[in-house]
Amino acid sequence: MTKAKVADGEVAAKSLPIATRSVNKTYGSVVALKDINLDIKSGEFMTLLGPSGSGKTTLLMVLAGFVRPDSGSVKFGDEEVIAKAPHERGIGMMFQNYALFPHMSVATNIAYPLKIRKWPKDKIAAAVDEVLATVQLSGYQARRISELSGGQKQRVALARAIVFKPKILLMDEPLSALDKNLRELMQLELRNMHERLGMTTVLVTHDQREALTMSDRVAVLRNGEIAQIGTSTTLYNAPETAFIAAFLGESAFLHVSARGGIHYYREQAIKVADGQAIPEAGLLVLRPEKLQVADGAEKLPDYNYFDGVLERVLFQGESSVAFVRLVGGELVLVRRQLNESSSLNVSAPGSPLVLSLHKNDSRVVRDDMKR
Amino acid sequence: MKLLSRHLSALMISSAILVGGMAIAQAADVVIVTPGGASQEAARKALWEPAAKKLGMTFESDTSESWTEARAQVDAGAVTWDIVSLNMGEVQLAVDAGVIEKLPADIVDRNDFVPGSVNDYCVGNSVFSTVIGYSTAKFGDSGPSNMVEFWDVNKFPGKRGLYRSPRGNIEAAVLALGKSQSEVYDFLSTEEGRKAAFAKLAEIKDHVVWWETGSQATQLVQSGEVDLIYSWNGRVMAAIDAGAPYKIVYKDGLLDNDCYAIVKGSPHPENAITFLKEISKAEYVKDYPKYIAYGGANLKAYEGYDEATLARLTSSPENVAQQYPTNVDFWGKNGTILSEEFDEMLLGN
Amino acid sequence: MTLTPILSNRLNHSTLRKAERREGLSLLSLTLPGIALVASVVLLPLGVMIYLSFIGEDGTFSFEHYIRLWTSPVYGQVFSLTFRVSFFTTLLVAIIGYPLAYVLAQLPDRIQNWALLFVLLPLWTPVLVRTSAWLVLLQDGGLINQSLMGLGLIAEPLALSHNLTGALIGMVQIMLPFLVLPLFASMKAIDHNLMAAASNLGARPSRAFRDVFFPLSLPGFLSGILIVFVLCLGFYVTPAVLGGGRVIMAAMRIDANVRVYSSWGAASSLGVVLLVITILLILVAALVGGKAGRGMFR
Repeated sequence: MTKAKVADGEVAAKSLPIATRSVNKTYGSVVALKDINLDIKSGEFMTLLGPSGSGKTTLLMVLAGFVRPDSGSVKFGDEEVIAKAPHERGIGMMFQNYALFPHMSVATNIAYPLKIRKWPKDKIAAAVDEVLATVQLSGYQARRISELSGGQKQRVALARAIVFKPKILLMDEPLSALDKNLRELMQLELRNMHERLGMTTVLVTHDQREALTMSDRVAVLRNGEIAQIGTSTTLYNAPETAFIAAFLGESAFLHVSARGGIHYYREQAIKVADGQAIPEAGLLVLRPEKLQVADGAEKLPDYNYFDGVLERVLFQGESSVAFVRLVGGELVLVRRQLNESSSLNVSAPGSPLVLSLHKNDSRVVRDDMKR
Repeated sequence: MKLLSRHLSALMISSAILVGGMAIAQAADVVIVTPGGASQEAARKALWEPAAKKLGMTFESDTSESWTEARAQVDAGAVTWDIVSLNMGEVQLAVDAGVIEKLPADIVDRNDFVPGSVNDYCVGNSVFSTVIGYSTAKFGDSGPSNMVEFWDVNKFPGKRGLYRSPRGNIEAAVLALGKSQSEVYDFLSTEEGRKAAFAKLAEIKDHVVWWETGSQATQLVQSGEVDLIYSWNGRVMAAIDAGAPYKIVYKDGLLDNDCYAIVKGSPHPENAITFLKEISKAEYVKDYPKYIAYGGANLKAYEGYDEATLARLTSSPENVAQQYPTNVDFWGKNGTILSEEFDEMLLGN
Repeated sequence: MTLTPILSNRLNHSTLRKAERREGLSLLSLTLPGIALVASVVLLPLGVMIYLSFIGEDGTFSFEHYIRLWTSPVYGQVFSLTFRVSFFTTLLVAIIGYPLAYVLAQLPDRIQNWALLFVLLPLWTPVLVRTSAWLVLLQDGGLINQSLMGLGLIAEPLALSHNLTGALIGMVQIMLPFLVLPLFASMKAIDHNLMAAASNLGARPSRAFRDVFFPLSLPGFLSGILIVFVLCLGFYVTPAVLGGGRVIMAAMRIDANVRVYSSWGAASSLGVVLLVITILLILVAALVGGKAGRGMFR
C-alpha cells in the first residue's frame, strides 16, 4: 500500500534524474556501448538519436534493465539500479510495436501494472478511466486490441506506460509505425503530455526531425559512443563534427585547410564567426537554407562568396532546391522559399552564379566522416 | 494402422471404380496371396517358382494378413487376386461372405491329403500346429511335458507367451483342466464349459505375455523374454534354428492347416485352377520343409523324408499321434462370441 | 438515341453483376477438386461405415450390432480403457511436451533447427519400427533393465513392457511431436516484446509467464492436446505390442470384429460409436475450454 501512496501522493517527486557512468557492453567482438557517461536531469526530455547500430537502443535497454552491461553504473536518483531486474525498476516504457497484450481488453492492458502493484479494484478502475481520458480514448475500456487503429494502439500503450505514474518513461521508437501526419500529431501530444506529467523521459529514434522537435536535449550516438550532446539548436547550429552536421539536417562540406589562424578553401580565406577557435584543417558546413544566391557584384565584408554553376532546380512545394556545382567540383544544395523572388527561379541550368554565406553561419567542423 | 491401411485399400479400390470403372489389369498370368513372411518365401521357392516354370506361366505374389482383405476386393467389385491362402478356420466365414469360389471336384485326390485339409472350397498347403516350447536354459530337458504342466506356475515358474486370441488357448485351458484331447470340443460346447475354460485361462493371466504376430513370437523366444511359449511350431523352430536354447513339445499340440482358395470373380480363373493343381503336387510339396519347419498337406510328399526332417515336422506320423486337430466347425460357430469373451477375460480383474 | 446513355448504364450494371457472379463461380470451381477429395476420402467412407453398421449378419437392416455393443460387457470395458489410456497419454504428453516446446522456442535459431530435426526425426520412422525399438529397450532382457541390473540398482527386472506402463511410454513418445509442433509454432508467434512489456510493468518472470506467455500459447497447446487425444483413440500398433495384451484399445477390437464376423457391420458399429463419443467429448471440451478461456482475463 505504501507504493500506492507514493504513486498518488503529492509529496513524492514526479521524476528522477538518470546518471550513467562508464557503461560498456560488447557482443562478441562488436562494441555496442563504449564508456557511456550520460546525465539526464530530473523531468528532462532526452532523445537518443543515431543511425541503426549506433547503440541507442542498447542504451535504452540498459536503462530498462533488459540488457545487462559488462561494466558501469546506472543510477535513478541516488539509487544504483544496474543489478536490478526490469520488473524491479518501476519505470514506464513504450515499445516499438506497442507490445499490447492481444488477449486482454484495453482496460485490462492498462490495469495490468496496477494489478501487479495490488491496487484495490475500484482505484484501478478509476485510474484506468482517468488515463484513458488523458489519452483521449474514453469509452474504449472494453475494446479488443485487434479492433484498434495504429494511433489508438499508440495511445493505449502510452496510457499503460504512465498509468502507474512512473518517474521515468522510456520510449523505443514509439512512432515509427505511424504514417507521417499521425506521427507529427503524436509528437506534439507526447510533448504536451510530458510537460503536463513531468516525468523524466528518454526517447530513442533514428528520425532527426522527431528528435529536434520533441526533446529538451539530444544525445547523438555513433558506434556505441555519444558523439555530441546538447539542445536541438546547439546540435543543429553548432555541430562539432561532420557526422553530426550530416546527420542533423542536410549539409554539403568543403575541405578547408588552416594556416596562421585562418581557414582557406582553395586559397580563399574563409571568414568565420568571431571567437570561433581555428584548430586545424576541417570541413566547412554548407546548409542549404543558409546559402544565398548573391545577386549583384557587390561583395559585403561579413560574407564568404563561392563561384559555381547552376545544374538544376527541383520544385518541392513550399520551397525549391537548386543544385550548384562549385568551381572545386563540390555539389552543394541551396534552398529557397518560393514566395521570394530570386534569380534562382529564372536562371537556366548551366548559368554561372555566386553563392554567399554569412560568417556567423560559416562553421568549420572536425572531419570524422572516414572513420 | 493395419486396420487403417485395409480400409484405405478398400476405399481406394472403390474410388477407382467410382472414377471411371477402370479395370486394374494384371500383367501376370496368376496372382497368389499369402500372409507373407517366412512361409511365403518357402512357398515361393518350393512351390510357385518351379511350378510356374513347368507350366510356362508367370505369377505375381502379394501379402494379406486376413481373409477380410480379399473380401474388401470382392465387396468393392474390383478383384485383383486369384489365389489366396486362408487358415482352414476362416474358410467357412469366407464361404458365408461369398468371397471364395467352389473348386472343381477333381482338383486334387483327397485320399492323398491329410484328413480334413481339403474341402469343396480350399486345398491344404501346409500343416502346422500350436505347440508348447520351453527354455532349456531355464528348465534343462525337463520342462513341461503337457498342458497341465504348462499351466503349473509353481513347478515351472516364468513368463509364458500366448497368442492374443482365443484360438488354441481356450482348447489348451480345457486340457489344463485335466480333460483329454478328444473331450476338448465337447467340453467347450456348453456355456459352463467355456466359462470354466476362460476361468482356467485367467488363472495364469499374470504370467502371460500376449503376442500379436508370428514374428513377435519368434522374437520373444529368441530374446529370452519368455521362458515358455505356446505358439506355431514354425515360429518356435525358427528361433531354435537361430540358436535360441528352446525345445518343442508336441504333446497336446493343436494341429491346424492353411489352404489355398480361389477368390470369387478372380481375373484369371482358369489359370488359377491350373496353377493350384500344379503347386499341390507332391513333387513340389516335398521340398517345402527345406525352407520352413512346416510340412505340406499332400502326404505323398512325405515318402522320401529322412528321420531328421520328419522330427522337425509337426505333421510327421509320430508327432501327429501326440496332437489333436482343430475343430473348424466349432470356431465357425463360436468364433465371434469367444473373441469377445476372450477380451473380456483379458480386461477383467 | 438520347436514351442510350441511361440504357447502356443499366446494361452495364447487369453485365457487371453477371461478370461478378461468373467470377465467383469460377473461383468456387477452383475448390472443386478439394471438395471432391474430401467427399470421396472422408464423407463417402464415413457414410458407407454408418450404412454398414445397420446391416446385420443376414444382410438386412438391423440394430443387432448396436444391441451387441450394449449387451456384451467387453465393449464397455474396451471403450472405457481406450478413453482412459488416451487421457493419460495426452496428460503425459502435455506435461512433457509443454516444457520441451518452451525450451525449443527459446533456443537460438541455429541450434533450434537442429533441435527441431530431432523432434521430427521420429516422425520419419515407421510406428512399428519405433515400437519394436521400445520393446528392445524396455523388455526384461532389454537395455534399460539389463543396465540397471548390471549397476546393481535393481535385482529383478522392472515391468516396463507388456503392460500399461510399456504402452504409455511408447504412445507418449510417438505422440509427443504431434503436440510439440503446433505448440512450438504458437510459441514462436508470441512477440518477445510482450514478455518484456510485462516485465517492465512490474511482473516477475513467473507472473509474466502466467499472465502473458501461457495464455498466448494456449491455442497451440489446446490444438496439440486435441490432436494427440484423437490420434490416441485410434491407436493400434503400439498399445498392441507394448501392452502385451493388457491394453485393448477400440481399434484392436474393431480389427478383431473385422476378422471374426462375416459382416462389416460388427466393426462399423464400433467405429460409429467411437466417432460419436469422440465428437461429443470434443464439443464438451470446446464448450468448457471456450468458457474458461474467455473468463480467464475478465
